[in-house]
Amino acid sequence: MEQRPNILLITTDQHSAEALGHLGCNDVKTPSMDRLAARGISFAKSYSANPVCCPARASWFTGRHTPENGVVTNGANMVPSMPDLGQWLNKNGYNAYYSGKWHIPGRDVAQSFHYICRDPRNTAETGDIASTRSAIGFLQNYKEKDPFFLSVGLLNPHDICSFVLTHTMHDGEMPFPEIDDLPPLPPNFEIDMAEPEKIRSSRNQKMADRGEESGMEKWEEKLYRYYIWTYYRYIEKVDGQIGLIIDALENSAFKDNTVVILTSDHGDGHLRHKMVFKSFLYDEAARVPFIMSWPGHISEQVIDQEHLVSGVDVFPTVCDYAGISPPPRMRGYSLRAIAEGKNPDWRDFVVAHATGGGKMLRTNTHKLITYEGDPVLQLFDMEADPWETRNLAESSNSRALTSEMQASLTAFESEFELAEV
Amino acid sequence: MAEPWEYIHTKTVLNKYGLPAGAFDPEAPGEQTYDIYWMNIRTKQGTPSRSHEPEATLRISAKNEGEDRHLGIICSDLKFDNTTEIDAQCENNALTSPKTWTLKYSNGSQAGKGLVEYTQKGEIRNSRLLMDGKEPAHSKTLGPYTADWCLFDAVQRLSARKDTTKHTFDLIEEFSMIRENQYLIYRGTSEITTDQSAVTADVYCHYGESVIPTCYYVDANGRLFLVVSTRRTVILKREAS
Repeated sequence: MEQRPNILLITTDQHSAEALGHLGCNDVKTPSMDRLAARGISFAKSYSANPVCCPARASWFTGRHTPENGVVTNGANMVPSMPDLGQWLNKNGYNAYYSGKWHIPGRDVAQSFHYICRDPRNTAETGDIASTRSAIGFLQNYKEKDPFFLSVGLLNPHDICSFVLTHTMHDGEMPFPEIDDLPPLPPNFEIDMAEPEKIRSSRNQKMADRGEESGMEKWEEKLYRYYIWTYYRYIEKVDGQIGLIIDALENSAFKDNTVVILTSDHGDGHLRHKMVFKSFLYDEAARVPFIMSWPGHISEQVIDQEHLVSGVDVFPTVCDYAGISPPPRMRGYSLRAIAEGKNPDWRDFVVAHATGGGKMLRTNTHKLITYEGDPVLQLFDMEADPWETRNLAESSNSRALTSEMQASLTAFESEFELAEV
Repeated sequence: MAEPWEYIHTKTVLNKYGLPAGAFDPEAPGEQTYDIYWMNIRTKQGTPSRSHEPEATLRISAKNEGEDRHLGIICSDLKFDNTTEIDAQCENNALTSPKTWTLKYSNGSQAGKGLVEYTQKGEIRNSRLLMDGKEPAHSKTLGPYTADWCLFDAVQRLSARKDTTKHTFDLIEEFSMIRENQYLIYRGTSEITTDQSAVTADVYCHYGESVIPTCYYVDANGRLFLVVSTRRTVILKREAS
């Protein structure tokens, strides 16, 4: 029997796919993630199953969408009876370890994995160093006969979440005028289109001057640009940690028999659509890095622009490499065949959910966004309008497509075994 | 425009610890202990962590050894029970550039016992970084360089020497990886006030790849007592000679 590979899953937090050097962003340096991509495949159309921390993570580790696994929003508990990836691997001949951020309510990580470094909660800088160093030590010291699965939950660039509050006191002024390489505002900074109320109210809340809140509407242009600049610095920070882990792997006994998968739970607005943070379905929040590498097995130097990928694909992909069957009713698919250069039948669309009843259906060309109870639908032509600035849902030319995509979404969800709330 | 030390969480910590006073010689052998706080991002006010307790401590001992400078650094993450110890032999130069060092990491996790600890030797040889004798994947020939914790020693001596020039350098972040395009500038003085007292501090700011702007506040005696980088506040707890 062929030796089963070790599997290293590295996850970051709040990292938009756009902010990767190898996907074309020149304002951020990501040499470690670019190196991993150069030695493997990077999926450019990869979407979080629900772009906020707990739900996205629950989807990775159950292979199920959030209406099924119960973690529909931050703080909601996972369905107790649903197996997670750690439990499944430990039961099937792997030793499953976890280092760093977990953040899935209702599931004790220490009951599912060997938990070698604690969740840093909200202190990314020190927490990521500990998670990384624990992973480095693990790769130097692991001596067991069974293959390992090691999940390293890094937290940055999540520290960007402190930016708005910290800068409340600056009355909208840029505090570091010495910085002269601020990136420009994105082309969709100012938009004028129909949006669901949930998106509007989220933006308005941050823009309004509410005393202790941010009052972002008062920010001078440079402060908006400084937000983006700072976001990129946090990404560089976590990219460095990833580099240390990859270096440690390459200097270890496991160099040739370890599959590496890297992804992020969700992105960040970073002023696209004048949004910050997450929990919405525009690409800046919903589209995330997804890289796989195993030299000699996985195709190298591939940027895949074709296949739609979801966070729910993590579980079946890991099971495929581990040589074990996943639990029943997986909603995701194994990426192994694609990663190894084959051309399997693949999904026509990917679905994501968002806090507040948001739903997204993304095909290779279009994206539909709906919110329960909200009459405003959004339809974007992602090829002609990748910045999502023109809502086509109401145009006569697009009504048929909108209806068709709505019907696909309804049919897809009709298969769900909904969690009891 | 507000200065970084005026961040709400930093001011809260400053009022708790007070400002330093008395003589200090940054060239003399001694040890300084700092507490590290993180702003709580889950409160609207941006206060320190809910418990208002430090999240980590940093102890730096420094002394001159012949022509070199020796630093002993211990960073303990109190919440997660992990410790990094660095013993570094450095150049006695403006940036306290490390030449050779030993890094030891340990972690109190029960499941990780015997599995996560490690020791690593680092050195700069012919201007190249070597970790356990090997170059990291992203390497380069270094120009002027330093490491992040070495800057704690360097700014004290820059202030004492009235050095206000711009220093450009490569950073050995965490004594483990190279970061390019770094610079340290003198930003002038700032009058820092707490509920009880006030000091005038020299302010040095560090910018660069992967660096959130970090301001170092040094009192008139050359004592570094506050380091602020957005949500992180590092504050002098005590010193011993």
